Amino acid sequence: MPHIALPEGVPGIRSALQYRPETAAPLLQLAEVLLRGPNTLTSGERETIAAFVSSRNECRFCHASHRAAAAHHLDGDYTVVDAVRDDYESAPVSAKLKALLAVAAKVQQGGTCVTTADVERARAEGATDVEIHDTVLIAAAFCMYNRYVDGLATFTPVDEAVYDAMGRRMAHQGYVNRS
Amino acid sequence: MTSLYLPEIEANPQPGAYRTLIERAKANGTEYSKIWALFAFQHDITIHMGRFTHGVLRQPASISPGIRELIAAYTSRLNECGFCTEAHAAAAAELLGDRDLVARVLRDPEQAPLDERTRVLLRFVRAITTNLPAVSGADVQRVRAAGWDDEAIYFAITTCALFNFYNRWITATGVPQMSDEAHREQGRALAARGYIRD
Repeated sequence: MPHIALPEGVPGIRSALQYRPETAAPLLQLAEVLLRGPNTLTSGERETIAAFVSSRNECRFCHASHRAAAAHHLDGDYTVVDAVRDDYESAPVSAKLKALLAVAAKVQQGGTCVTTADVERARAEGATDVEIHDTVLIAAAFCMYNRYVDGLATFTPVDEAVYDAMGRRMAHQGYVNRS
Repeated sequence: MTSLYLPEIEANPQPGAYRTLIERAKANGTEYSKIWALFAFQHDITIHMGRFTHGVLRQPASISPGIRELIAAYTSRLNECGFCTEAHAAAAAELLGDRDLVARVLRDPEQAPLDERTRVLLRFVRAITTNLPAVSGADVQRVRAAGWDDEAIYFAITTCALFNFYNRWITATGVPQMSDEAHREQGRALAARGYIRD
């Protein structure tokens, strides 16, 4: 049961958005530019960061939906995003993405946890300041989305197929222009 | 003034309201908020943040903008973000008309001369900020029993969530706390005009 009287049967963040559409509309536009806007990090990499942070925050809805979105940027293959969740240092991703995930992991704990060494490692693996910044931005944004969704206790479907379909739409249609 | 940790970001403000503010402050030799550099860097992204922030903190609701600014400041204190704590403490002080109360809440809300319903609300904010997975319906029920309606609870959660974003973005990029005077000035501006600058 949601903690407050949100629209019934609407999953996750969408019920909160329907409760206050005028406040919440920018949240979807933000997701669109953060995860699908022009960027040197691929959308798959950015969705992987989003899923990873949501997993660390134990936000089931955000983790399952962004996990599926990350997979659908890779033709529906879940192995990479799941390997990152389980142990990103040994996951089959680039050294640069591993270094950026290390930054994201620190941001999830708290912004003050990020050290110069974390930033230097990312630079040494070829990340630009912009990519480091965007990783911080995405990780911080999911510390917000996760609290929004779980603080309100929105409806969390349990059927994996629901998330797979959701992730496919998130990856290929995006967050704003929904049919 | 201290520079951001990511020099490429600070060196590349895009044209717009924030670049204008930065240029004006530099020309006048006045201290300015380095969050402007973050907002100026990717205007297509930050425009949505400004609008969301303004809605969350100012939209008419059964919880006052002053209490929402207090939640913003308290969340920022818990996350050890000096810049956000001082910025929103100053805005809360303006809107609530009580600087001493805000300072005492930030030191310890349990000891501050607050009404009980606000104290209960701040305990809830603390739980969402510091231990989200443990938050349950029972926590929300305590807030409701203290006299807050669903709309107020929605805005409290959303404010707390928003500052869990800002605090991380701000501290990880190195936005420095300003002087008391500069924060007080900014608090007056935020109280008067809010957060939309596009």
